[in-house]
Amino acid sequence: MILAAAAFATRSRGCAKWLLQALLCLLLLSEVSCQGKQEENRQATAQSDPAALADSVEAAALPPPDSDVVDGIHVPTGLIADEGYVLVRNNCISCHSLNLVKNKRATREGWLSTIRWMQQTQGLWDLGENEKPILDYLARNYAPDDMGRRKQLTEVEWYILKE
Amino acid sequence: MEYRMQQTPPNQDKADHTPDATGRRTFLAKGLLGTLALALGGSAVNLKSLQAAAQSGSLKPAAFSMQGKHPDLVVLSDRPWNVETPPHLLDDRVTPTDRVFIRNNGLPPGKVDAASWTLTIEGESARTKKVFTLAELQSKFKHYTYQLQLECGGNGRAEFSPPGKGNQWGNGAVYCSEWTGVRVKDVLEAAGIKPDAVYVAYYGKDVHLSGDTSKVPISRGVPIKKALEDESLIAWAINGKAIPEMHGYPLRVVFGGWPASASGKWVDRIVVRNKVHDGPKMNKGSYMVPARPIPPGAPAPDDKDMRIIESMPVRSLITYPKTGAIVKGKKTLQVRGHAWAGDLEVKEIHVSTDFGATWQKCELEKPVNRLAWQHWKTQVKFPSTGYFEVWARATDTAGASQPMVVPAWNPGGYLNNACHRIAIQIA
Ligand code: HEC
Repeated sequence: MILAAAAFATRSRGCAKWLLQALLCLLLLSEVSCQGKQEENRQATAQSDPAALADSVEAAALPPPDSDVVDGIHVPTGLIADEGYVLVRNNCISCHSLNLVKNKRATREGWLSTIRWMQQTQGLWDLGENEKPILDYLARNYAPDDMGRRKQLTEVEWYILKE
Repeated sequence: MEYRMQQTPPNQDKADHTPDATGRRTFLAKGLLGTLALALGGSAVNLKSLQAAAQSGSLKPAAFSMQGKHPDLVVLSDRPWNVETPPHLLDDRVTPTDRVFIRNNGLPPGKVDAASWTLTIEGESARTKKVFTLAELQSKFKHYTYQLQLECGGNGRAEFSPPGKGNQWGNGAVYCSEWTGVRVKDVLEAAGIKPDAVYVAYYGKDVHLSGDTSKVPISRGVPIKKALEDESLIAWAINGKAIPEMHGYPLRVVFGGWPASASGKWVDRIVVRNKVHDGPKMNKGSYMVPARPIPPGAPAPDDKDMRIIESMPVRSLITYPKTGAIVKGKKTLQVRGHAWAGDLEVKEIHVSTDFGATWQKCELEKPVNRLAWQHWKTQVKFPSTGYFEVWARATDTAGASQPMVVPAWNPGGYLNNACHRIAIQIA
């Protein structure tokens, strides 16, 4: 359609401006209706899971509802139940398993450098006003322990050796 | 941090630092959106729409299955698949395919038609561009079979403090299976190699994790000299059978002794470069360590002050017995395992039962071919009942041996070849 319009435009210069404007309007309209759809989707999921709607900083700052929390863990996601977990859930699940997040231990600078690396090389979006609460959450809940130069052998499952 | 593959999904992650009563992690993530990208069809996925879907919470977990892998492998992540093998499951001389660890950087290509698969050879330093079907590769070139050890550059990362970036591997991101294919050098020579060739790199058909088809998840390679070695293969079979999907079906490259990320999967293009390859994960510290050592936790140097990891360092595993053995009624124990040393060979291996105070030399076999791991065994005696550890320390032909503590800290947490330890009780 765009091609046809362009061809037409080159034939009749007077019409070109008008056509382009019409096209732009069309594009804009479809953008808007798309956004409307997304909004609908959002509302639909929000009914089954209220946290899903929490993409405003204030709403996301809330800790998860008690019914979803066992031993300090938000059961549906496995994230530590703390303010800001929703932002991590919403921004960090679309490319990879949340295990990558949950298995990492880093300082605030360490988390920031992973986020910057993903933005520079892996297509992670600008987190905008959510960046600070996300970093606060990660640095607070997934901070490194000092393991020294070598850890004790832990989590050994003892068994009787039969030879 | 991990879950066992045999466990049924309570669909929860008890967070890595709260292991349950057995000390295991009992969650089994249901798998996030599994193959969203593929479900959306072959067209490029727009990151904006992905972001919107993610933020609306409309991405729902999908079930997954683990394609015939051994049920005791440990899943670090299911998207991408990162799955490690506990050392005692690596006891076989040649690693069975169901015990091979998985490190994927993107999503496997999905449905593959091997009959129409082609491999293109091109690049600035290839004299001509050549395209081979799989059948042509198999009929035009001589076949070779080698046992080749492949180890993730980040094997052992979980021991670094402060933690290194990336998957927190224990000791099991290594194996030695038997590969069959054609030599990289025979195929490159068919296209012709210009004298200015510097690097040989792969591109594969895996899909970036974001589903964005314009992004390449990983494209690495090796210097021309390594590529032209006899054991460098373009392979279609592992342990005598077609390569499983997770490991690169139908075609991959195998460069034994180097970080396994150099051995690309689902390969459909090999480029001969006139400079060090610059594909994704050849930069920004990926598979690199500081050229000059830095203190633990120091900021990552720029790439110009880093070196790309080449041959992996000397290392060994105790694959028998499994850690945690309680020995009753005797004070002796047979121990055995494997040892390897990147491009080099292992010259000797020692074990200690007194926390490194004294060392006893083990029987060590020669490798069946260059770049295969070597098998070792010995019998140890304990002076009394009590808690002991067996430590294994290999030494390579250049005289380098495994450190007993974690070696030079680096931001990516690569190259931890500290000696392997198992816990024993003499009752
Ligand atoms: C647009 C895609 C995308 C999104 C969204 C995304 N990541 Fe990533 N991330 C990646 C890719 C690709 C990798 C590399 C995966 C690999 O190598 O297996 C990665 C790796 C990681 C790692 C492992 C590397 C390291 O530094 O330890 C962590 C941790 C991580 N991401 C955290 C996050 C967090 C936190 C968020 C949300 C703020 C997030 N990711 C959102 C693409 C993404």
